[in-house]
Amino acid sequence: MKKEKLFDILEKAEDDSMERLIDKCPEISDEELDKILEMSERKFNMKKKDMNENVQRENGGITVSGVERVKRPAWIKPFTMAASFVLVAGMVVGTVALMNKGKSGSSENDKIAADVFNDKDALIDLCSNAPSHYDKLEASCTISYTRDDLSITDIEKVEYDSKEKYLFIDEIEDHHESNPEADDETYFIYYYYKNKSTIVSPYWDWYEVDTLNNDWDYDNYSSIDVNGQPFFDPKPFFDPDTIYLSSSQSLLNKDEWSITGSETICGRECVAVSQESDAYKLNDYFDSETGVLLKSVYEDVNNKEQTVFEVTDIKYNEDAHVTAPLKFRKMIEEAGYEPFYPTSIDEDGNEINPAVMCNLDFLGIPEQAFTTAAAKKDIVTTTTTTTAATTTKPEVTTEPVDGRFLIDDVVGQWEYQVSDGTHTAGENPVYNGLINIYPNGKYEYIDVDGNVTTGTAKTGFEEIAGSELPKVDFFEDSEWSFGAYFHDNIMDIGNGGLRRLVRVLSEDSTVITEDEAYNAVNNYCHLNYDWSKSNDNPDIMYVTKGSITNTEYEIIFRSYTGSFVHFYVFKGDGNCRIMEENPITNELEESGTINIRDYMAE
Amino acid sequence: MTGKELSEMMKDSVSGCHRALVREYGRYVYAIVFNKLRACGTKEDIEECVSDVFADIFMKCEYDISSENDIKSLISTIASRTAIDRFRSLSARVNHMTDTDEDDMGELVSDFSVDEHVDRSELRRVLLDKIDELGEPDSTIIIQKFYYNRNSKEIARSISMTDVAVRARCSRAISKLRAKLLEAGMAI
Repeated sequence: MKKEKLFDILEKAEDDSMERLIDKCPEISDEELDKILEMSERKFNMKKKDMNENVQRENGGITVSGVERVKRPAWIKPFTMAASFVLVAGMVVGTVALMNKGKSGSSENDKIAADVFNDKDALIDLCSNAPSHYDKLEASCTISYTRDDLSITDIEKVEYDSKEKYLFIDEIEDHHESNPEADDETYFIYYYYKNKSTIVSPYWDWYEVDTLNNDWDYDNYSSIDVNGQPFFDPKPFFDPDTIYLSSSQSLLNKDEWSITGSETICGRECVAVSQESDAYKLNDYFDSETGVLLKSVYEDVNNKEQTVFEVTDIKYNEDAHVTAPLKFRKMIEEAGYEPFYPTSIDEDGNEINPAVMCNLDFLGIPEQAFTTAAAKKDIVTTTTTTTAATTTKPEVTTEPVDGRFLIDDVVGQWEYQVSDGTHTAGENPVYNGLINIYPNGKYEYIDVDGNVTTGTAKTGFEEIAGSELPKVDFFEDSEWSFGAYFHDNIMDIGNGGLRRLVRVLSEDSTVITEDEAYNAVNNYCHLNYDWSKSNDNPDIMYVTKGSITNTEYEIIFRSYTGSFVHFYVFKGDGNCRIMEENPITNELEESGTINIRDYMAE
Repeated sequence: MTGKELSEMMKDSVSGCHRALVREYGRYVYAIVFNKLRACGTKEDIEECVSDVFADIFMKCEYDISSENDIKSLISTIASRTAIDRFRSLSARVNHMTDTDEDDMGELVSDFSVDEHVDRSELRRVLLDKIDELGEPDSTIIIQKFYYNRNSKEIARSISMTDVAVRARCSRAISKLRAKLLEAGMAI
């Protein structure tokens, strides 16, 4: 199946939409128009000739033969010229962070610092080796851009660990122009680590993870570049092959700038550099010890635009706080931001799970899951599912007795649950099949597609940190497949909380009945939704039983608005997923979890 | 530009008239052709189609233009029809080269569904509205980048900004657009 990209919708536009697209059509150069004219003239002459010959043929019987071939010139020549030296330094979001990395010895620093106020080569050397002058950087900066009636102001916080190569940017942007409807304030947090870019929108409570692995990404994420290089693959500052120019690169051509003195900016002594042409004026201020650009004022004389970039606070190395990857993950998960992925269907027509696509494991896996402040939707303001270690406990446990751990202790049906990519399997389980364990030690695993795998399960103990933990090893034929640590009615596979088995049916466990599930959900709905609308018309709101699977009951709530909320109650432990039905697309969107045992007594 | 004005120009200089037409309406025709051929045509296909459009317009000027008032609508019609013909020809070529099945051919012959047409028109409108809400220069950057497939340097040149600035704005604008579309129930 061919995936349609969003902007493909604009194809075959007509009338108003077409006019709007025409308005934004790129200008066509005179050179290109000349080519069109030349081709059109040639075709026109052919048509005219054909027409004349047809007329003559009709009148006099001339035979026409031969076809003139038209050579196709290229539509648009690639732009091969080097990028203009006109630059708008402040617009590079991460300039501060990225223009500095690396660390060299202090004696060399001293030598550089001694020369940079007078020696252009020394200054170039300092800036081109800026990466070598610190390990960590924490800075606050402002960027303002004004042009005609457009005004954009960014307030940014930048944290950069040049050694570990992670970058944090917190950016609030204020956008004003003559049309008040276009005024806007945005707030995004960016985090770049390894080859991943994570964007968090605190205003809209979502986050997105993107992989930077091709030219498109490279081009579009260059806002955090210096010299057009992605931060995870930094290259020397003054790479002469670089197409894109940043402010500091303007130093490359020594004839175009001069050192005008020094200035102190946020407590740092800076080298002041100035350059001027008929088109622009640029004043840059570089930290004399690190080469970091701390201030830049750019004025476009002709277009009357101005960009001012200024660092308002900066700390280096041990004084600098840089948010580590796992801390960033914690921030996302504790805030309960929801994963967002641009498309819902992949190229093969399969549904895409945003949680999987936005897997945060690249930031590190916590030993214990961070507290999840369940999505910030009102519907989930009550008790949420907890981690595997504290999952609501069924009434009957099957802990090993008398130091023995036998296969009988685990006989029964188990649901195989995996992480959604963001949360642990305990917090937000994703169904991954069923495992039946029989008294003879045989087991069968039925995956989500119905495929069956069989093998043998063996019980035993594993000593960890002086404690003997009951463990079940699963073998496929004679080959070890995986092991799971047993406690209560749960078997944790591995210790990352990403996979687990949860007992479904056991002769001695208490299974929640459908009526209990219904009553508990009914209680929950009456506690959390406004039922006053149903006073006049009772039928407008209700709770009803839905489908039943091996492991779950479906209970459905109808709101007075006509929207539906589906509750999927896990029979074994009462954990319940809450899915809201989108009234437009009818797609179910997960909005949180509860444990219905908390509502049974209401 | 009116038909009468063109006729007058033709009397003075045919080539001058052609040049004026291309200068005046080149971008307009390009936008219409690009819209139709964006998915199936190469740059050369688009270029050739644009020149076909102007060749037809020149023919019209040569033989039958004086009755036209504002020739813009005439040019729009010629451009649309020529581009649709080219689209069918290119699509047929592609289908011929691959395994054409009956469904595809049916689509080729009659690819117009009223429901789908209405839905897409509405989606188009919403998308363009949300892009407009970004304000300038972001809206132009987004359209030129993702619809006209221009790179940052080309866009920078057309809106008198640096390519660095264009990339920075583009990255932020697309994030903002995502959020706006998400609110409107669309995904980018």
